[in-house]
Amino acid sequence: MSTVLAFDFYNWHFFFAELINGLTTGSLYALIALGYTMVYGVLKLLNFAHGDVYMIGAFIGYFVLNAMGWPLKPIMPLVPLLLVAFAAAMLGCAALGVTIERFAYRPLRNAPRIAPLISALGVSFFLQQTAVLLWQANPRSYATYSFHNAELYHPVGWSNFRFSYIQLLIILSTVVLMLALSFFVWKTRTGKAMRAVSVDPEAASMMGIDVDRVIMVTFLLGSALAGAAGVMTGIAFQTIGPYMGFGAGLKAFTAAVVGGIGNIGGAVLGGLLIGVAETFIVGYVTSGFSDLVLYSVLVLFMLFRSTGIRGVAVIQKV
Amino acid sequence: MSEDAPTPGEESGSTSPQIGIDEWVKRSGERIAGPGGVFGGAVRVAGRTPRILLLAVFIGFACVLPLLTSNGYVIGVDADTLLYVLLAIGLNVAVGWAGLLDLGYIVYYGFGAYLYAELSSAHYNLHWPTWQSVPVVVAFTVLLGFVLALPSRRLRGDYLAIVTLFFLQMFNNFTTNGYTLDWFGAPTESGLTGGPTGINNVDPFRVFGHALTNSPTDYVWAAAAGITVVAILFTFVNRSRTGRAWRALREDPLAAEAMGIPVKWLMLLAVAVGAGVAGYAGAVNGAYYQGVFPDTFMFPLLITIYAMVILGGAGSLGGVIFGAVTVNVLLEVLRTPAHARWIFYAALLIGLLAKLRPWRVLAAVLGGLVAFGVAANQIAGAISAKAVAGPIAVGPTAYTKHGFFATLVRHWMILPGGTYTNADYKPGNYAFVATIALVLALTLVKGWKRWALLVPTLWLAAFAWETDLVNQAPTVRPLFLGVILIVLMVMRPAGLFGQSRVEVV
Amino acid sequence: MLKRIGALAVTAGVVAAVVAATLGGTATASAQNSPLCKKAGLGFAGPLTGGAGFLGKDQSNWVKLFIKSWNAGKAIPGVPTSLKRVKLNLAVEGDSQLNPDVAAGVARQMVANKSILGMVGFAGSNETLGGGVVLDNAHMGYVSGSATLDTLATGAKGQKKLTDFFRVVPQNAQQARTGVPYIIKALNLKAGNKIMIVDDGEAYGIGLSNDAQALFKAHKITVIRKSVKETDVNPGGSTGFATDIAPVALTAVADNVKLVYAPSQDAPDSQTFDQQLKTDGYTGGFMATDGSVSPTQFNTPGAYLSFFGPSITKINKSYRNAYIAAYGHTSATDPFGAPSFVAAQMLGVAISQACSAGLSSNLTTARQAVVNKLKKVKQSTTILGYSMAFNNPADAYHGPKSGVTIFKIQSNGSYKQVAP
Repeated sequence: MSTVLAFDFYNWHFFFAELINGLTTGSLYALIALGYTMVYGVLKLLNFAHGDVYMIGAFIGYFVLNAMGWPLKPIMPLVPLLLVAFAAAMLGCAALGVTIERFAYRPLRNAPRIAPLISALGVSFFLQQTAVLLWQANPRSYATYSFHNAELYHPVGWSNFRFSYIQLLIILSTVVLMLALSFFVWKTRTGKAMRAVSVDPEAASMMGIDVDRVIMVTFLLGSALAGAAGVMTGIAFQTIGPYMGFGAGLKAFTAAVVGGIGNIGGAVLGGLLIGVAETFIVGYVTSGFSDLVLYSVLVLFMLFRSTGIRGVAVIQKV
Repeated sequence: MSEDAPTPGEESGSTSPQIGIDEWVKRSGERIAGPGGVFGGAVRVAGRTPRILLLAVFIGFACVLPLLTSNGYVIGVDADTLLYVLLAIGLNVAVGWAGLLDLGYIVYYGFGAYLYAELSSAHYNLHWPTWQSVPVVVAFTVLLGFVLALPSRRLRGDYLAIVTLFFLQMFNNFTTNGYTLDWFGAPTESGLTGGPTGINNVDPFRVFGHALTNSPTDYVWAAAAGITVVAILFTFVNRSRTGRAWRALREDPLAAEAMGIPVKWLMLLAVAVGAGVAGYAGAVNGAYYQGVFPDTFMFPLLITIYAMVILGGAGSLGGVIFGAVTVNVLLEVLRTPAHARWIFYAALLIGLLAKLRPWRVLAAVLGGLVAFGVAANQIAGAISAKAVAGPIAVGPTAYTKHGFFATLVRHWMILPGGTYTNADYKPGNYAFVATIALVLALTLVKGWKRWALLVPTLWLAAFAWETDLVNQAPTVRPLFLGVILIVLMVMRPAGLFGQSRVEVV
Repeated sequence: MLKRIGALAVTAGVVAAVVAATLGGTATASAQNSPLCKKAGLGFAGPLTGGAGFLGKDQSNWVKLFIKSWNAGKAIPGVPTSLKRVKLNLAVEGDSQLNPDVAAGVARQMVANKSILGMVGFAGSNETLGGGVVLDNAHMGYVSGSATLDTLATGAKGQKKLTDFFRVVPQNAQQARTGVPYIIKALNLKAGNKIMIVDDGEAYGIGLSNDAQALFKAHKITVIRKSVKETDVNPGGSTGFATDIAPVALTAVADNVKLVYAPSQDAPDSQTFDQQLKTDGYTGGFMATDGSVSPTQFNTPGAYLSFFGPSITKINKSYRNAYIAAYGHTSATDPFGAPSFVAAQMLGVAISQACSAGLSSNLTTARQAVVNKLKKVKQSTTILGYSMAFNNPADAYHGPKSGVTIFKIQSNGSYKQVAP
C-alpha cells in the first residue's frame, strides 16, 4: 500500500485530469451499458455475451485501421479514417448481435428464466475462445500514440482544466450516440414499439407489434454501440485482447443497473459514475484493491437501491 | 408471441402443453429414457437396481481405479473428477434445487482451500491436524455461505447473479493482492494470502496419524468419502420437507411464500449447504495440490462446473454426477490431440446415427460425405499437388506417425502443405468461421435441403478440425464448454437427465 | 426418473473405465534394458493457450527446433562433437495455461509417460509451484526457460523449495540487483528522492517489484508503490481494458517522482504507460523489465529496460533464421522462446551423458540420474551467445561476465545495450 491520502486533492489540476480520465473510461462503460440496458429492458435478459461483442468490435476496428495504413501511413485523413473504422465495427457487431439473438436466445424465448442466462454465459465463453483461436491471446496495440507524433494525445484546454483530443472525442461521441439513441427510442415508430414491448411483450404483440423484429432491432442497436465502444477503447487505451470483454461487460452491466435498468439516460449516468469512481479510487485511495472497494460499494448499492438512480420500482406480478 | 416465420425451436409452440418445447425435444426425453438394443437393456437393468447400489458402484469403481493402474496421470484425473463431482453436487443445491443462479459459488471453494492452507501449513506455522482443520473449514464456509447469501433475501434472478459475480471478482482481487496485508502476524513477504503465488507448502491430510502424501490415490479416497457422505445426506434431504420446499421455491417463489414456506430462510440454507460442500472440496484441493493459488478460483472454473451441472440436468443428483464425470473426462481426452481426433469423429458419427432417420437419409448423407471428401481431395490434388501434401497431425509427433485411420483421412481431406508448422495458419481459421455459419444455416433450412447442406458442413468442420483445431486443443476445450451450454439450452434446457419444467409466463 | 439416474451413474462409470483404459494404454513403453537410450522422451509444459499462449507456443517451437537439429546431428553451439547424442522425442506437450492446478495435472501426465526422462518448462513461476511438487516426487528434472521467481529454487517461509527445478534464466532478484543500481546511477537518484514502483497485479510484476522495492529502500530512496490492472490476459479478469494506467500515471506526475519502475508482462501496456506519462508532462525516467521486451511493441524513446540475458541481437543467426522460416516470428520469439532451446539442450546433454554412464532400467532411478547429470552440465556457449551451467541451487550461472542486460531505447525506437 502506498501513501493513503487524506482528502488532499493534490491540486485542482490533478483533480480535473483524473475527472477527465474517469469520464473517458466511464463513457466506454456507458456505451456498453446502453446495449445491456436496452436488451434488458425489452427482453429481461442479462446478456453476458454483450461484453464479448464489444471485444469483437475492438478487433474489427484494429484490422480495418491497420488495413488502411494506421497509424504510420494512413491512406486518408483522420476523420474519414475513423468513420470507416467505426462503421465497420458497428456493422460487424450489429450483425453479430442479431445472429446471437436469432440462434442463441430466440429459441429460448419461453424457456425457464435461467436458460437464456446460461446460454448467454455460453455465448460469451464461445466468442472469447473463438477470438483466441482466430487472433491469438496476446494483447495487440492500436498504437494510436504513433499517429502523427501523438497528435491525438496533445493536451488542450485552459490552465488547470486540460484534456486531450482523444478524450474529447470519446466523451463527445458518447453524448452524440446517446442523444441519437434517445431520439430513436422516443421519436420513431420502432422506438415506440420498443418501449411498448419492454412494458408488456404480449400486449404489444396483440396490438400488432412484431415483437421479434423489435427485439432484433434492439440487439442491432445495442451491439453497434458496443462495436463503437470497442474501437474507442483501442484508440484511447491502445491495448486490446480477447479477454477484455468480460471485465468491461461486467462493469457496464453494473452501470446499467446503477442508472436504473431500461433507462437510456440512466445507463450513461451510471457508466460515467462508475468510471469516475473507479478512477478516483485508483488515483486517491488504493490501486491494488480498487476492484474490492468498487464492488463493495456496488453490492451495497444493489442491495439498497436495485432499481437504480433513475429507475422506477417495478411491482412484479405473476 | 407473434411468430412470422416458425422457428425450429417452436414449431408446435402454440399447441404443445410445454411452451417452447417442440416435438423433437419432447421425444428426446423418451429416446433417452427408453432406447432399444443393448444400451436400452443395460439402462433398464441398471434402472431396476437401487440407487444406493449404483452410487456404491460408481464410488467403488472410482476407488478401485488407483489399484488397477499404476498410471499416476489416470489416478490424477480420477481424483480431479471426484473433486468436480463434489463441486457439482454442491452447486446443484442452489442452482438445481432452489433455482438460485449463484455465480459466486467458486468463492466458497476458494475460501475453503485458503482457510485450510492458512490453518494447516507453514504459512502461519499452525499445522492443525486434519480432524481439526477440516471441520473448522467446513463450518466457516457454511457461515460465509450464509453471509454472502444474505443479498438473496432482497435480490432475485439476474440481480442475484450479478451480485454473486461481484463476490467472485472481489474474492479474486482480495486473494491476489492480499500479500500486502500482514494480518494476524502473517509473514511479511507473503502477507495474508501469499498474493499471486498463493500459499505453498500446505500440509497433506493427516488421518489417524498417517500423513497422506500428495499421491492422487489418497485424495481419490478423501474425495470419495466426501461424495458418499454428501450424496447419501442429500438423497434424504431431497426427499424431506426441506427438499420439497426447495423445489417449490424453484418453481415459483411467490406461490411458495403464499403457501407458508419460509422462502428467505430456505434460500440462505440452500446457498450455505452448497457452500459447505464446496468448502470441503476446497480443503481437499489445498491438501492435494499442497498449495492454493488465486488463479484457480476464477470464472473459467465457474463455467466448467456450470457446464457439468447443466449437462447432467440441474436438480438431479445422479444427472449432476454423470455431468461432472462426462465433462471432466471429455476435457481430459481433448487435451491430447491423438485422443481428441477419435472423440471428434466418434461424436460426429454418433450424432448422425442418432439424428438421421430414416436409414435411407443416413446412408445418403454418409455416402455423400465420403464422396464429397474424396472428390474434393482428388480435385485439389489435380490442381496442385501441394494442396494435399500436408502431414496429418497426431500430437507433437505428427510428422512420423501415420495410423490406419490417419491414412483414410488423408485421402478424404484436403491437407495443404505446411499445415502444422505455422502457428498462425489461416485456412483452418476461415474454415472454422465458415463452419459456424453453415451450422447456423442448417437450423434454418428443412427437409432435403438440410440433408444436402449437412454434407459440406460436416466436411468443412472436419477440415477446420484437421487443419487447425486438432492442434489447438487447449482453446478447443473451453470452446467446447461454451458450445455445450448454448446447445443444451437451445435443445434441452433441463439437461440430459433433469426433469423438464413448465414455466408459466 | 430415479431409476434412470442410477443407470446414468453406471454408464458414467463405464465411460470412465473405457477412457481410463485408453489413457493408460498410451504409456506402454517399458523401461527394460533402458531402451530410452535409443530414443528418450522429453516433455514440454507451458501455456499453449490463454493470455500467454503465444509464449508457450514459441517456447515449444524452439524445443521442436532443438530436437530436430539434435536428431539430425547438426552442429549446436556448445554441444561437443564428441558427445554421443541420444535421439530425442517430444513425447508430451502439456498446456499448463499458467495455472498451477492445471500444471499439476500436466506434470502427472509427464510422470505417467514412461518414455519421458526430463521436461522443458514450466514457463511461469506460478505453474512451476503447482506442477513442480509432482515432478519432484517423481525425481524428474525440469528446466524452465522463463520462470524467474526467486523462491522457486531457494524456498521461503510458507513456500516449498523445488528440488529438481532448474532454469536457464536469472532469477528476479538478479535482474533487480543489476537494474536498480544501474538506474540509480544513470538518473543520479539520491537518498530521499521519490520514485514510484508500479506492479502489474500478477506474480511476475509483484515479485520483481518487491525485489526492487527492497533495493531502492536500502538506498534510502522513498518508494511509492502502486498496482495497475492491465488489459486482461485471463478469461474472467475483472478489468477489461487498461483503465488504471492513466490515473496512476497522473499520480506519478503529481507526486513528482524521479523514476517509474514498472515490471509488466504486457509490452503494449508498458508502451501506453510511458506515453501517458509523457503526455501528462512527466520528465523523470521510466524503466520496464524483461516482460516488456519487444522492439515492435515497446519502443518509446528514452525508456530503460532490464532483460534477463545478453542482447537479443546476439542470438545465433542461423538458428534464428531457421526458426523464423519454420514457425514465423512473434513478439516472444527472441526474448522468451530461445532460452527454451537451451533448456532442451541442457536436458539433451544430460540424458546423453547419463546414457554413456549406463542408465538404469528403473524409470525413477533413470530420471534421478538425469537430474544428477543436469547439475553438472556445462556448455561453453549456447545459441544465446553465452555459456550455461547451473549453480547451487539450480539457477542459471552464466559466468562472471554475463548476466542481466540493460537497454536504453533510442530515438528511432531501437534497443541500445547500455550495460554491462
